[in-house]
Amino acid sequence: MLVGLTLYFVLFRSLQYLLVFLTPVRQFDTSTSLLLNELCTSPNEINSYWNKFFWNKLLSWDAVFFIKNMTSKDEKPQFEHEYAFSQLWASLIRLIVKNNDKNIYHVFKVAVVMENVLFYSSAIVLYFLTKRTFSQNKKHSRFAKSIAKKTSLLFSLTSAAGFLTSIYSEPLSFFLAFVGIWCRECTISIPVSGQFDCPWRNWFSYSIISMSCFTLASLNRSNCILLGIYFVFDLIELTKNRKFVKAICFPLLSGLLMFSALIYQQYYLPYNTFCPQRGEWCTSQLLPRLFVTKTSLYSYIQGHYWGVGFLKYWTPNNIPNFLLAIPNIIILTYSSIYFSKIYPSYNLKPLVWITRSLVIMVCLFAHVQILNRIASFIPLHLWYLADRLVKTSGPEQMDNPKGDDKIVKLYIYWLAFWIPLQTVLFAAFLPPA
Amino acid sequence: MQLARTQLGQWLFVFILFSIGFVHANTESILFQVPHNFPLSDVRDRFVSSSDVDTVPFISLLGETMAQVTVKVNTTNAQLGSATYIELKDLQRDETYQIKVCWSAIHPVSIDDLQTIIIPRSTEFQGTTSDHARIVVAFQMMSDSYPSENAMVPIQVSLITTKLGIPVDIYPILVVIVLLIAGLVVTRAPHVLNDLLLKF
Repeated sequence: MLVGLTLYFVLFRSLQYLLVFLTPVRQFDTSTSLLLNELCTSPNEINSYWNKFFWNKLLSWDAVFFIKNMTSKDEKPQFEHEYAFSQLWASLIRLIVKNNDKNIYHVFKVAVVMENVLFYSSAIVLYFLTKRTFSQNKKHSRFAKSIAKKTSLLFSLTSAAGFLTSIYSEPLSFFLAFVGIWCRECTISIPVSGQFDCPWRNWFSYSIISMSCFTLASLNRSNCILLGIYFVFDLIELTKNRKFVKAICFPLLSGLLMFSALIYQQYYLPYNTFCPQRGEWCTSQLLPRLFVTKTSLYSYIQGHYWGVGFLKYWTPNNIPNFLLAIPNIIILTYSSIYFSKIYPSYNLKPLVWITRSLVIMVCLFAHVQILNRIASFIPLHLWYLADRLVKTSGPEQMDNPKGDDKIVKLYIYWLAFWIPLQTVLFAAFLPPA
Repeated sequence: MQLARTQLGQWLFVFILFSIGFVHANTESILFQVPHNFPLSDVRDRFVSSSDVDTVPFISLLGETMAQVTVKVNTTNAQLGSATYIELKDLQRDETYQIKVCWSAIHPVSIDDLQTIIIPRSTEFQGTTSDHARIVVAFQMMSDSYPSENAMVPIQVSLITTKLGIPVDIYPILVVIVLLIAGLVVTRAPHVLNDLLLKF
């Protein structure tokens, strides 16, 4: 399994990087040269063969903010809106380069390597997570192994793959989210009687490892806050089963720790950094002398600088962006229906809630096309695709697919066009962002 | 099936063309058509003109289909409402050009009022006069951040000829995209991927 998955991962990534190389040097947005002139001290280095024909093209869209943060001398954002880009991811890269060399190309190459390492590691963790989820306590389930292999391969072909050629923060969240879900999955027990339980011997794995992973994933990418739904679900189930002490020591404690970390990052830290001199969002305190404001810094940044807000993206000029997001909207929605109505699965319930929440949140509040980039921290749609691929007995059946299989086939066909196309568009600094 | 795949490729191509019209982020652009009766100056005339003083930055398309210039704009002055002007030289009558303004996202600024202005001959403009009518692109730059940035921000202004309504700098990218889609269709990549996933 590992050899096959590794080979395909390397093959897919190599093809993507070949496309980057083949994309014309002159990008649509010509500002990368301005960025490099400011961050790189040597003009000869900027125009060296490999930098000109390969590396420079990967400094498009949000990669600009990440590289600025990673190479920043005082190691913190210069402007308010730069707090929207993961400080955790930038700190990790700074830690790896150890301040020895702040040369932009050195930092950038380290970050690209780390991006790929995390992306690949996530695929491996997802394999074991899927195997665990679908094995139903059978150690050697052929079905679980088969679905796990296909899920990991599908993950390597995520619709975010084009952006992941550069230095985006998503792979760190994918990795942390999968490790967190895996730890929780190994911790909980659902006996035949159906009574949900968390054995005490697994307290560390649940309340420390899983909680830390979910918290760090959320600090890295705020949409991962939805992983907290796992704790809400577990709290409800343990309370229903009248296991109150466990409810407090497992999900409630974990949820509170995760919540506290987010309050610290979203409210306490920004308030102490910017308020009261900033005005604007600082003035919306819930109580006088309290650092909690009605609008968090992240929400303010999203609304003020990028026009994010309820139905703000629902304008005619954004129709292309909605069209771009449709395949993932359909597959995410349908996978939540599949695992709740058609093949209901008790242990996938929280993931169904998370998936639905993400789709609703992104469609109503965010720039909808980002769904293609951020949705992969949830494996539910990949499990849906893999499940249908396993249940489809042969290629003959796939030639004339019906119902679910038709959706799966169309989605895979879309991926085959979308990933290479999006890679070229990204390297050419063209939308979608 | 083959027809369906070809049609899918065509639709993707049309879709990309459509999407290009919605570029935001750190690029602002306008299309500008030189009037058919615009009194363009001849290159030789310009060299013998004694009253020309080139203190306004300019972009010349002499022998080129596209050209660009980098100017540094002071964000402090920009906040006071002063505009930046760049003269466009060696244009052709009745031709449509794209004027594209790009800046790096590390400088949080926004560009407003991107427009072209026609300066009649012998009219003083920014301390300069010319014996010929001039076309100038003007824009205002505003600081859009907290804290406000007080710096000289480099801005790249490109002047690009259009063919069939598409700026010529897009053509190489479009060629790559068309070849890519054709390659995917010819190699039956979606089918191969589907088979791979079924058999893996």
